[in-house]
Amino acid sequence: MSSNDLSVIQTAGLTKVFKDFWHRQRVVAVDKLDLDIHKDEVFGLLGPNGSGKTTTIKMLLGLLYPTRGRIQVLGRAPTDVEVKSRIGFLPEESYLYQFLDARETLDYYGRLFRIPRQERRRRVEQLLEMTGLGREARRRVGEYSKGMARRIGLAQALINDPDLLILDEPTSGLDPVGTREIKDLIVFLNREKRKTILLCSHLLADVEDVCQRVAVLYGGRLQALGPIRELLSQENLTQITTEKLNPDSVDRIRRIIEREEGRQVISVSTPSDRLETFFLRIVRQAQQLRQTTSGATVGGRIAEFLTESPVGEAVVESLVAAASKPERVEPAAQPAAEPGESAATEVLKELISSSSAVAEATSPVENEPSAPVPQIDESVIDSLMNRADRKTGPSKE
Amino acid sequence: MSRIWAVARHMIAESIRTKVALLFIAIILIILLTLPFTVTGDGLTIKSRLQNYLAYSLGSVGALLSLLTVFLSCGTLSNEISGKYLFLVVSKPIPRWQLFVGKWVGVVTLNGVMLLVTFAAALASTWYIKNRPATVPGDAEAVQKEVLEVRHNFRLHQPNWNQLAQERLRQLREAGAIEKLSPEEEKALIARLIEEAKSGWRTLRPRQWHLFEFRLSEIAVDRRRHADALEQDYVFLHIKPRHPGGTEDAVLQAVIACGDPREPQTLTREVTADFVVERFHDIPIPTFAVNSRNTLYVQIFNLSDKDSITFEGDDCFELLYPLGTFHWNTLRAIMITWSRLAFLAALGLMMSSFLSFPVACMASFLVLAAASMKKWLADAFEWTIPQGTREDPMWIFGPPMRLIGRAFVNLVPDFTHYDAVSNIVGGRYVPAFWVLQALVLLLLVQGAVLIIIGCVVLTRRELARVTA
Repeated sequence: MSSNDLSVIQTAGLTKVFKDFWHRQRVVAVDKLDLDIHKDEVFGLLGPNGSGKTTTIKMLLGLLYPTRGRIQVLGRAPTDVEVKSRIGFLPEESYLYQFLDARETLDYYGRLFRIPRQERRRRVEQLLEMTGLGREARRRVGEYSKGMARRIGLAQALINDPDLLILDEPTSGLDPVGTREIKDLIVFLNREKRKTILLCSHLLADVEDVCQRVAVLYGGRLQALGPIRELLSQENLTQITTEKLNPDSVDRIRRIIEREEGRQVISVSTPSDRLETFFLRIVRQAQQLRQTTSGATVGGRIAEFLTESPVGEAVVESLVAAASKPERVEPAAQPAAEPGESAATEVLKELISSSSAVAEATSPVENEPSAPVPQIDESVIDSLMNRADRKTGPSKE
Repeated sequence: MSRIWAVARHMIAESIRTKVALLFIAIILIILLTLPFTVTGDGLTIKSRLQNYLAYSLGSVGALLSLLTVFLSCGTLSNEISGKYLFLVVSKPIPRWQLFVGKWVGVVTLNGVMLLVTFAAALASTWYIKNRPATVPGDAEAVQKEVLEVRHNFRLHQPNWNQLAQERLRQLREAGAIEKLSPEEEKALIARLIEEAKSGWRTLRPRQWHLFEFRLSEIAVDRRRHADALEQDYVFLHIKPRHPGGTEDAVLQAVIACGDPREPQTLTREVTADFVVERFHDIPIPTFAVNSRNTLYVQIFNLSDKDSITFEGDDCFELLYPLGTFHWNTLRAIMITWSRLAFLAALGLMMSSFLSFPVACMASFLVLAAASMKKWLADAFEWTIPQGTREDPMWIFGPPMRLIGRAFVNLVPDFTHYDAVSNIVGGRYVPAFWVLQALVLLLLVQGAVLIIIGCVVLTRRELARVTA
């Protein structure tokens, strides 16, 4: 198999220069970018604001044309209509027609893919259920909160069961429940459905959770590229995780290390529960009490058409079952929701499956996205503290 | 096609739900529903009430739909580009030309539905007004004959004015009335003689015969018309005499005889008739009076000893014959209006493919205004040309401005040419040829050019590029 067969997206010397009215060069948004995104991988495009991430995505979709360089998406030019039939795209803002309701929105985009009516209706209903918007399907999208609009934006990106999914800030504006669901979905689509996913975000925790390879852009230039495990591993540190120790034991271990290895113990700490885990537990408790909400409910199971496989029903069932187990992605979340387990067991599980604040830096990043980071998740805090839709009314969760 | 129709449906939903179209539709419905009960005409006759209703309803609907079309077509693409809604659409497998055409189909479908509603309302209202009790004798008959019974017309055959002027010049020379003239003087004299001949052409002097000529097969495209006319037993001489002195309500007497003396079987009896000035009169003429060359000669003798009779304007002396029904005629007029709107939709969409909404609107309204008064504008540019040694009123800017202005006026279509409302009001036939001409010129030629330009611009444009 040649490298071209493996490549879903290829750019070579990709450059985008924005010029002013007088054709004077104003901004070099992307500068000689070489990317090769492989089939079946989740690829993260990282960078601060204005680093060229979104411009790159717009060129991949034919919304902007390169000033120089070459792009191939699924082996063809990005403007090729056939290519677009295999792409799902979620832009950084949802850009949805305000006057349509959720069902009409999905139906419209389904029509553009020429999906037959019966199949289109089936997919629309399944996507509405999956995104938790089934009960709000008749509300105009213009009345939705940002998070709900994001969910419907994601649903439209999946209406054609795409081979390549391009997600620009997919968790922006979503609550932690929605964020978790989207990350689970990304993992499912990649691992079970072999979808290639290009994820563009500056929420590093999201990228770390789901991506296998990342590229870091700054000033339009590629600064780093490679598997997350390789990029983040720190070979000069070692992490030891045990059950709860008393202070004397810790001192003894510290002395042993200093005596035997001649090295300093940098930090010893007790990990705390993740804020994301805590939040999800509270929401689930509220749902179990059947408290009403005019916002999105927790999403249902993954849309059936996305789980369908030519292999057979048994495989379908196994895939759906696999996808619906959150512990595969976030093992720390599930024990917290089980009241029968002791706190010690929870801590043990945390210790076993994760690392402390210092150890995070030393632990190799799991290629499997099921390895959570036990320290407080920055992205969850971002979601909780900075989300615009928290300020508005009853339609929010 | 399914994608084009999907975009078209979306366009219609957008226009209604964003309340732009809804506002216009509400106004149109209010006009159509209230006008039959509120319009009065001259306050006496049902005929004038019906004519006023048709003029106001069809005219206002045409104008309102023109405004709506400009707003919708200019707004949809430019707003979707500036609001970035188009990012999602063009990332789907739809060629941009299909997106453009889909928008156009949406606008013209909405227009088509609105015009069909107007058509139905016009028929219902006409039936209602027609059945109001008449208070003026002959009113009901006038409604039937002059409005509802659609009639086609033949205009008078115009003489070769230049030839007539040259002949008159020759006569003046032979009579010694003029001396040797310079070429400029001769040219000016001929122009004056042509003007005199034209002014006297439709004037019947006292105690004089005057011969008028209708060539029923004069225009190639109207070959079928004379056949239609000759299928009738009678055609009608439709005249509105006028007293040169402007006297109103005077009665003038004249003798009318028809036929070609070279073909005796075509000659009719001489008929003496009284004509009230400033009123239309229909005089039946048997179709056997038309000669073998499909020409009808009408001779009129002015019985007055001192008063002349004039017929000013093309519609004051013409030949009419019944052809077709009111509803088909109205439908043809509606189709012409629809063609005009389809052109406007293509124009607005083309403008909005590269201009922002307000600029696209202004440009489209400029073209609409120019198209609605094309003849006047063309004349206006001619009037600004300095005569003789007079200074150019626009100074050095005159020649380039006239050049640009003429080019612009030549490019825009002539909407007055496609105004069939006056024909409906006057009970005149709206030829199917007009419909065909409107469809071909406005849609297949000018509209198609605009659509192609719009598609190319939209396809080549970087939609995500910030242009502001």
